[in-house]
Amino acid sequence: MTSGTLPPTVAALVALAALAPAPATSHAPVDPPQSAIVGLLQRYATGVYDAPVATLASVPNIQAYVRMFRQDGPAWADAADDPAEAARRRFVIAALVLETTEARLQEDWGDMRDLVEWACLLVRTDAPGSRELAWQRAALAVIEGAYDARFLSTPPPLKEGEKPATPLMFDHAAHARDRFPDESRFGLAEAFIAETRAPREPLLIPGPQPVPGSRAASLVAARMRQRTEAAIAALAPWLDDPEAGGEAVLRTAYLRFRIGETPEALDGLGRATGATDAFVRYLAHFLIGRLHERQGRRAEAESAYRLALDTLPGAQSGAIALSTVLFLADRPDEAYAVMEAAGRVSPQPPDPWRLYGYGDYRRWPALKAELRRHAAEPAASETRLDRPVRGPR
Amino acid sequence: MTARRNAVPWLVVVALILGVTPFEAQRTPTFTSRISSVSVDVSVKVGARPVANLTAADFRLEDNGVTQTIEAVSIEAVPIDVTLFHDTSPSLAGKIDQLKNDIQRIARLLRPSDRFRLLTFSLGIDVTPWHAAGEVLDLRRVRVGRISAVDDALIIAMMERSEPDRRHLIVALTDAVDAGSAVGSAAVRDVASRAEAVLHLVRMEPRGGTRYTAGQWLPISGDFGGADLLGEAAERTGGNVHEASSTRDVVGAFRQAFDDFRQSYVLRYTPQGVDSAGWHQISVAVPTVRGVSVRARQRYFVAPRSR
Repeated sequence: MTSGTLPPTVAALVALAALAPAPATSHAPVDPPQSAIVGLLQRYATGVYDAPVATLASVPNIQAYVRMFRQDGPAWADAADDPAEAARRRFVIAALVLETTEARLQEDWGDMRDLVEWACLLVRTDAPGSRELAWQRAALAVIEGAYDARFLSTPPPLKEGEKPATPLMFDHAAHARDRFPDESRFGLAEAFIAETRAPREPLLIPGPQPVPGSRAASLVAARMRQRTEAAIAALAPWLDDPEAGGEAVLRTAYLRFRIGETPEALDGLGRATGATDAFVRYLAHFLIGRLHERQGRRAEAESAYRLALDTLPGAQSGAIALSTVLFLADRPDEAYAVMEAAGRVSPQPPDPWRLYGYGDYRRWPALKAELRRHAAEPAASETRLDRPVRGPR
Repeated sequence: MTARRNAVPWLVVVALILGVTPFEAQRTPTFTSRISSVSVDVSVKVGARPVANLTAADFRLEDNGVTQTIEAVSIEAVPIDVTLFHDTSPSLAGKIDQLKNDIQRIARLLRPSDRFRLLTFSLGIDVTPWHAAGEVLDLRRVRVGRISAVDDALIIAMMERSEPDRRHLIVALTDAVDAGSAVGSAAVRDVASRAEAVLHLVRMEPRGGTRYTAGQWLPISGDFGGADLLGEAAERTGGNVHEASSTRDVVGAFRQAFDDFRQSYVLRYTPQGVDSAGWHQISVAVPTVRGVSVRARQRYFVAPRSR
């Protein structure tokens, strides 16, 4: 058939199509076969974890797989022989969603976060149990790793009596807290959200600031103070908690550091150096060093940075801070030695200073292992938790 | 972080670059003539064009105000260690594949005797071991980073002892906006005053980031004035600041910095008439050629003998 035999409108469309550039076949995403996600879920369910995650981490068209999770996942779960196995399969889907999200966290969080919320609904289908607790812990770690406070919780109004500015929030932290109200990590997560809204450290070199004494300056100061106090109040219930207490003390002290309450900050950081958690102890020493350095006490800063590195040899932030103090004190050989010693530590430990702002994301490797352990458990082994439970919101 | 180094070469290196006093007491007399010398990288240009064929007689070098006798002038022959810091923070890493392609092209510009290492961001600062020129770089782990610790990356790059008879060039491709470093930009500038390497800063425009990036924890209010201090840091090492407004310019800007360094002179002299310990202010001029711009390290430090 030629265009001469077609109606004029169709012929024009054919001609336009011929003129259009050919699709870039080498880069254009190709929709995978519809059953692809089921194959990956089946492998994950039988204990093959890394390969399905690696596949999903590297596919160029993750949106297609996001659709498949939603379309094909529930049908695969419902096809199980009994309700317990169906529940396990739902957990497998939710676990693979989380692992995929973590693997693509930096580049594709926006594509994945709705799916995490969908997976949360999936695990909340059943009564709360040890399996869901493991998932909620891991989910909070991933979301905190995404540093998406608006996904975790609706921002509070800026002024008293004002409605929240954006009502369409997921309030994800509340789901976990409602299901497991006694879980200290979930309480700490809500405090963490408040902390993300508190002021940062002041500049090391003063930048543009409101004119001291001006109305703008006092408004800014009042808001910063209000947000800091809100974060400190959110941490207060957890200060003596055996599991989360050390971190709560540390975060409280760092908040006080940020608003210039130096004696209180030093006191809190000093207490945090006695924590059982090495992450907390390292940061306590590191922040003591940072505080001393800001105040020009280089000898005290050096001692504190050395204690931080004793706690976690090879940690990058401590090595950089200590070697810089030494180098600027005209002790270059010692400075080089610090950096070289840090470089010899292999593998490099995760740096608590880099991870501080990502909440429980630092615990992801352990939480992922827990997810996999639960995914492998036989359907009947799920432990129901004897805890007060409120319904899903 | 850095690869393990043999202790002996760096002892000689420090002697070569920073001066000599500590090693005169510690090492055998065989090394005396070497360890007492100081090396200074000097870029001489008219406009953007390097000035070639200069000899020792063309230079005037003062160390703490005392004119020195230049013993050797070399160019091109000295192998170069290149540290490339490529800022992969979210604001710059919009096209990670393009970025990897840039890095591979940059690595191919090196001469056979040169070496190369790469600093990028992840959840920390990733540092590759030194690669020989021509070696294939494995860039599979290079991703969009979660931090923008520009100041820390520059400290890691500079806190490296140079090896004997090699020169160390640092090229930093970055928007120079730091967030979350363990140190500040003022510390980078001050470390640069004492550093052995030459730092060139290539300031890049943000690439727009990725559409769906996760958020980024910023512990400190943005150090936007830090870019000027980092530029000052580059100048204190004898390096320069370049601009790259597009992705295409990145390799070109590196080439410019690399050529600038490769075509610079290495002056060697033995300090005479000045105390060896402490800070040395260096001043270099080329009085025999009119209209030249001369760039060289401005200061170096020799630790006291007791240390």
